[in-house]
Amino acid sequence: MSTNRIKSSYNSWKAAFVFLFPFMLLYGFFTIYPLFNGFIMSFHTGRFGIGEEFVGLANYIKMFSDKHFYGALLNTLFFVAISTPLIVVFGLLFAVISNSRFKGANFVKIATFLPYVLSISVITSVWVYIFKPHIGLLNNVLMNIGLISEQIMWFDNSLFAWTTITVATLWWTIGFNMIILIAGLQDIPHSLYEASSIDGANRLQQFLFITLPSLSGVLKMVILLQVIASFKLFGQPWLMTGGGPGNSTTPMVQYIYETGFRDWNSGYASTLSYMLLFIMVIVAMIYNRLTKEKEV
Amino acid sequence: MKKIMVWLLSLTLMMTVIAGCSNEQDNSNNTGATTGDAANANETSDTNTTKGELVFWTPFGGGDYEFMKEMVDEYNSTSPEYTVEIVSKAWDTYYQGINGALISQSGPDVFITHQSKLAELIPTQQLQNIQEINSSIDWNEYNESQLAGVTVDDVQYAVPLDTHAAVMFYNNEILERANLTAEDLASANDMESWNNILEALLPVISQDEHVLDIANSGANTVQQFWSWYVLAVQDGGGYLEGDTVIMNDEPGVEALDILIDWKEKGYLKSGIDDGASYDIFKSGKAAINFTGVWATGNYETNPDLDFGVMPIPAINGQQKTWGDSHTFAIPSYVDGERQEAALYFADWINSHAVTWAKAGHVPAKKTVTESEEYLNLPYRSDYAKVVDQVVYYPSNEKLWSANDIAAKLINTAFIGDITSQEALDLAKEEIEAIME
Repeated sequence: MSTNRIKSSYNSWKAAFVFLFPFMLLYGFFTIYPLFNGFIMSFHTGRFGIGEEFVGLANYIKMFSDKHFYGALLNTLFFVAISTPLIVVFGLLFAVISNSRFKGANFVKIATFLPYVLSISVITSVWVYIFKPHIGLLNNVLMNIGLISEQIMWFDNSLFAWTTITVATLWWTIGFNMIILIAGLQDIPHSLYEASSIDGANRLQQFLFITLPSLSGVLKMVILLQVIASFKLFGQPWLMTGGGPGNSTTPMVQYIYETGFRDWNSGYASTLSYMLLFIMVIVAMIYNRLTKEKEV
Repeated sequence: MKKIMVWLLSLTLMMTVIAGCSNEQDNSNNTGATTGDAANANETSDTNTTKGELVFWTPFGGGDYEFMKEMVDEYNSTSPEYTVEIVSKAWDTYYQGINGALISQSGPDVFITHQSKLAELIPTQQLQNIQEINSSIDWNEYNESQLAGVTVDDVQYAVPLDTHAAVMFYNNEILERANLTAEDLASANDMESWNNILEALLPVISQDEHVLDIANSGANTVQQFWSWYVLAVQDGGGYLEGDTVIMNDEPGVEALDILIDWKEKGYLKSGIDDGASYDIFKSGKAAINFTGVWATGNYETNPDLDFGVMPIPAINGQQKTWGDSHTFAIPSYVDGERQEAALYFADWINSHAVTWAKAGHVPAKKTVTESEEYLNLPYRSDYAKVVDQVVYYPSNEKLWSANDIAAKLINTAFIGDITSQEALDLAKEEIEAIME
């Protein structure tokens, strides 16, 4: 190599380092370091920052006989199972609508995406106001049109409470998936549709045999991202139902938060966190195996 | 030239990052505060006589914050040695922040803490013993039970600011419909007369009105927990004794059964969440509302609401109620002179706390609560005596965790999923498990 090439390659590294350094500093300090420190904390017990002591695997053993752990885990898995298909399907539906040629398509796209811009406190406030009995919007509307004669107690029943959480989440996040899917839709060559309609295919057939297969790569990614996001559920139940009634809508992250930041048992909270991470990694691995493209 | 630009740009980037990091320590989420911006040292007007500035953390937002800020501004206008910068921190994560500050020995110079939180903060060994700070405070001016509340094992860990208790608000207009007066409410000193009142109110309310208004649903059912607490302690029952739960004893179970009975008789409707409990009474749709004294300022803002407030009568035995206190605490990591300034500031606020009384709380100094100005405030003097009726929480490091668990289980029984005895037995089991 000539000295000029060596020099310019060194210069690029220098520049790269300079630009990356601030980020790496913060990232190392606030993300990488806690990652390792948390793992070490999971082998300790005692109150955060005051008196921790090493207890080996005691926390992990405790976790396996902790009914609250199983309850929270089941709640999280339940939410992943019901919310993922809903959010992906509705995301796809709105993507198709927004991408079509009808007059209001652009308005639909903007209206569907707008909630995603709002913060969690805002959306949960809005939906609590809609669902709350007596003075909330939904019950009053349902009563006025005669569909119900008594207040529906949206937060006093496990299934209803999950409904409020799921509806709020749907409204909030389908916009994000929609945008990704619109990009995927626009990648599909128009000639495929033209050719198929010449051959007599109807809209449904076009959707099933052209659109869906072409979107499969994007869809796989969207589903995985949604699964991961659903595993991390915290804000909606925390602000809307408090994890209630009882513990019926308490997901894993809330249990971790209460253990670590309410009870100050940082060791056990770390244990629970690593268990959640472990489960998510397993799920992602299974998912990747199931959706692997057959090598041509 | 290009190289210089690259270095300049990266330098600027790094400076921005560092500046952003250092501002993080004092900047915090302001909840609805208008002027609570916490930039460093911008309140100091007269740099000649002020030695510095104390940072004062509060969990207050809305009306509470406005009243406290008014007093802090007044204090700063007296040109003290150390001015005070008030910070309105988000309530949701307030105590997480306090714990973090105390453990890392870096944070505010003085802060507000609930009296019931002291037991959790004392183990950080960062709460300064108030008696060891030089001052000329006349502690006789303070209410005795408040002072006792901030003293643990003969060490005074905080300076009381106020008591806020659960009281009874009532709607005069609805009472009139049933030919009832405030006198009738005040003299409901046993279960029978109380039930007579509820019975008399039920037929005169319309379909979207309520006889009793107590938050019992949704993310925050603490008010229902307090109502249980009131009924239980009135009957001589209790909640915790040291690390032992006694809430599932007979008075506790009966207290929960009373709440459920109110629901079944139609006096207390399900589905009232925390926010709604204020809105419903404020809009004139409830005859009786059990809530904290802090609601007074809120209800006053509706000129069409004809209401009154009084201590909860002795419906289940003795006239006792739930309550807690706000107090000032000073961290040990604050150095000597600033500690003295912080203590002086706290006492000054207490002397001028007639402004704080406008937020609904009962000030800690007898000189204030016996003053003409305080007694002339509408409503506040009606419940001032509630201070001596409060059965404070026991001192326990895991108290707020226990409260959370208790509130959830009481709510589960109220909804009807399990019986009162089952709920309280479970509460005993779970609370004692986290007490280890």
